[in-house]
Amino acid sequence: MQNALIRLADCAMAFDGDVVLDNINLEIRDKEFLTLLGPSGCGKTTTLNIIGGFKKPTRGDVFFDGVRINDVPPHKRHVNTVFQKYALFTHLNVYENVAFGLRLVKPKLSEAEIERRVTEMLDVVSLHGFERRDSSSLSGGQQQRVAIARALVLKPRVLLLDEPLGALDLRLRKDMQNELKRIQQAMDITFIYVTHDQEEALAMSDTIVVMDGGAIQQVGSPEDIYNEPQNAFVADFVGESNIVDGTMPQDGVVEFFGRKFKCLDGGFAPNEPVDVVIRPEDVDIVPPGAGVLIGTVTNITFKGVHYDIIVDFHGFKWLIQTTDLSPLGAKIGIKLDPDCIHVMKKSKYSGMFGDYSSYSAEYDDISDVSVGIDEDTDYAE
Amino acid sequence: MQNNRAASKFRTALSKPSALSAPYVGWLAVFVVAPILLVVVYAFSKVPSPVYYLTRETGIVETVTRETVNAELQADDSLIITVTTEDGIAYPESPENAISLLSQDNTVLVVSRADATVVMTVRFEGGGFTFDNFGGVWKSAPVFLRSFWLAFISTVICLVLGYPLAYILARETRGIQRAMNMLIMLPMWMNFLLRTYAWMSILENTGLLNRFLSIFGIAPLHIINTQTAVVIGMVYNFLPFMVLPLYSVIVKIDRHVIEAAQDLGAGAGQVFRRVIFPLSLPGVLSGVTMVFVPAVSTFAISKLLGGGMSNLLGDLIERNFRGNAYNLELGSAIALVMMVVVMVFMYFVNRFGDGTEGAVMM
Amino acid sequence: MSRKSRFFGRAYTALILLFLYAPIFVLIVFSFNASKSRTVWVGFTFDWYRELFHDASILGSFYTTLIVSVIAAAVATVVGTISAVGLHSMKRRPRNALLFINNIPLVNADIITGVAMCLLFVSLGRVLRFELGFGTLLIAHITFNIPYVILSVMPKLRQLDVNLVSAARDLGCTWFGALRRVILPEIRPGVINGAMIAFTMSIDDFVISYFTAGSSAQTLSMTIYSMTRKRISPEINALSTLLFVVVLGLLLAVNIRSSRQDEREKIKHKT
Repeated sequence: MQNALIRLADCAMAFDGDVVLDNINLEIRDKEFLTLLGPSGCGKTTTLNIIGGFKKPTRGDVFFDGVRINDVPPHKRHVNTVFQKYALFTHLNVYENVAFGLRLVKPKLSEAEIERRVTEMLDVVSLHGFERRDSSSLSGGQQQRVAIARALVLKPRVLLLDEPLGALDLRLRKDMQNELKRIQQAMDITFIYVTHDQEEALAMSDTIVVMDGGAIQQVGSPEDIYNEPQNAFVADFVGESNIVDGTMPQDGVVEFFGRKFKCLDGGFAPNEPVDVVIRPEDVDIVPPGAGVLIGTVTNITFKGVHYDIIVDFHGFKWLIQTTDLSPLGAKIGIKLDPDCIHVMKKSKYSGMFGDYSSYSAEYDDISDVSVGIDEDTDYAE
Repeated sequence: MQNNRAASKFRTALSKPSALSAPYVGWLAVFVVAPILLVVVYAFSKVPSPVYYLTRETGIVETVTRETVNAELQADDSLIITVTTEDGIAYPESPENAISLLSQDNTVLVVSRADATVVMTVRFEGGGFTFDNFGGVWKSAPVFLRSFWLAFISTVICLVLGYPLAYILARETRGIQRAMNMLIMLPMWMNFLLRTYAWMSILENTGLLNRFLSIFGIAPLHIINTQTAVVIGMVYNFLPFMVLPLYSVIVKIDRHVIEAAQDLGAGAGQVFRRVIFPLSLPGVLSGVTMVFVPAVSTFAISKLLGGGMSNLLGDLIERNFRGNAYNLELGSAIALVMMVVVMVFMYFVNRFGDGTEGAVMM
Repeated sequence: MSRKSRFFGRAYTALILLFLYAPIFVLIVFSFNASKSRTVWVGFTFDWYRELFHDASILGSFYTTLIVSVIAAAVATVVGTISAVGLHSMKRRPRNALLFINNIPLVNADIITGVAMCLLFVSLGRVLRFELGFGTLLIAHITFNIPYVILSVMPKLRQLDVNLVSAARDLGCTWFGALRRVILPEIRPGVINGAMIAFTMSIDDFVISYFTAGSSAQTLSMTIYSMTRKRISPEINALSTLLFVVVLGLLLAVNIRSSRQDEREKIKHKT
């Protein structure tokens, strides 16, 4: 394990008495792709701004390579940023946008050196031949690449990306995900990526930091985050989850809906109340007679690869993903393998998520509305 | 150390971009807010009246009332002043040996006679709170009524003439729109006094219009020096202020909205009444404001075309500030009342349009 | 649109234009009139143009107008642009309050602004021992020009990407560097537009100048106004005609240029 390149120690931030960040402790390793994931207002952009130097934490310290950098202004940090909506300089063409930072380097770089580095960088982001184009005449994806080239040309050790794909359409977004990953590996530097899109985070990251309410909820690899969520918020925000109240009579056994199930978790006090997570794709549908639980299908949505069906168990509705069609109103049974049941400690999020009683087909779209301007984006300090 | 900290504090304050507007905030306070407050102060101040102080060689100071001072302007522009003091002695005893000197600021008069010198000081002593000036404003109520009435008529005429023009323009091709915009703005570059003066030569009794009419044997119209002439002058000067905001709003109305209305069964009249006009309301309000405010306060137009017959608010204020009726207090009171009435008017106009205030400029 | 309604539309437009241009036409024609009469055409002459260039009072006031307008527009553009940037980065409440005060000279009738400033200058003059003149005239012009510049620059600032300054600083600019290298170039059209409006307003102003210039400084409008009491010399017609031709030329040039730009953009979009 490498040493931490960036360390946030007890960082807190408040605007006019509103706590935006609450005691953030985070270590970021060199050359990793780290994602800050969370809904809008969770503090992820503020965290990024603290690392970039655009905001000073009201409390706590920021270390870079072991040196405290709280008071180092943005342009003196080995960090550059790709902003939301790119923030390209529309009065300059592509070449001049990329050369902007190079022209400010002291001692002055020669024009030949600048040209060499700009051309090289435009090659990296596949924008060869776009030098003289007006930055405002480019497509969203191209503007995105200019923004990345502009930040990378200064050879930062860390690149910060603030929802960089938010303004692109779905297909372009997928392409750019791969592209970003490729660029990160080619440049061999650290990327810190902010997004509210869990799929993006799972697909690209080495490490995911899930945030909510100004606090870190969980840090881990994508697999950790998905398979072993630490609380109801993480379970719900990353992927779909059915979350029910339960208790742990003993290690390896969890009780919910009045029945006992085998599971792989342990380490709880006897009969401790817990949250139980069951991922919709882990549920096996069996004939009613063979099921441990029996419910009624109340809603079916065709999703292409599978069906999303809502099943009513004793008034509690679950989302189940299945490739077999069960007709509306049918009684079905389900089977739960021990490794499909994940048990979490109770938290302040218990009872808030994981219930599909009000499920509708637009659910996904509604939860995506949070795209947009995160927190206080005023550039006044 | 202390100094250092203060310096760094100062630097942080400077590094705040909002500090850039600090000089202008000061400017606003001195040159925008203070003048308006002065208008209010003057409006409630007593008109200064002259008080005459006599200082004789003996050093005795007497105050004399206005009635006992007699100043006579001679044919050669010199001023001969006689003062009768309370003991009945008149200074100077004979006008011939009086030297009267009117100092630059009108406050010191030196009166001398052969054997003694008397210095007379005139101080304008005013100040003090009073409502009296508003009595003077009340006396000019007819002028208020006339001004608002003429401004109202002019605004309505501007709207009636300007709306169709703006509407027609908005439907024209881009090139024509551009050219017409230019043509409408171009006259504004000519001095408005001159353009108004040109109307004098057109509207005069022996003017160009009547000469033209006489070709067809039409009897000469008497327009100049009437309220009609003033209204023509106002409409002429302020019509562009109505057309431009109207045009810039109408041209932005989405064609699809009109088509949708037609699709839903609205006839041409209904489309206009229920869709186009409501959508153009911000432009209407903006135009009405931009015409009404200058129209109600104009003074040159009425002077030139009204021939002084229709005295308007602007003329009244002008005469109190720069003219022969010099009375800053009364002038301020009139200005204040006018400002308040206009503000109330605009408040209602804008409430009518609900938050569309200031929707369009230029 | 039907051909008939288009015809009526154009006829109406022509009538309004006739109304707008009739007096200007009269002015121009009588600048060539051989007599001083403003209604009777006597014969053609260039005399008034010749005399114009020898008339010290008209040329002097024209010069004053030009100087005041140029200085006032320049100062207002600099102050207004900088203040707009400052205002833009303020919190909403103080910003709106200041913008409200900023708008006072725009919303108020000119005559109110004029007499209010007149009172200020007279009062200050008594204390500081100065009289109305070129200085007070200039201050008045700057004061009513700045709001136009601010109103013209603010929308451009609002359109800017919120992260633009951060981006510039991230790439190595100081705050003022970002202002100079990024903000100002990005809002340049608004600044230029504001300067043009300010200059126009200054050139065109009569009322505020009338109350703030005193007797020592005279703008062209004031000279014309004092002439109207007797009779306006056709020299003024001549001057106006010259100005009209210059402005017409400028506007045409600007319009032709921008319509060419439009064409070019159209072509660009097609390819």
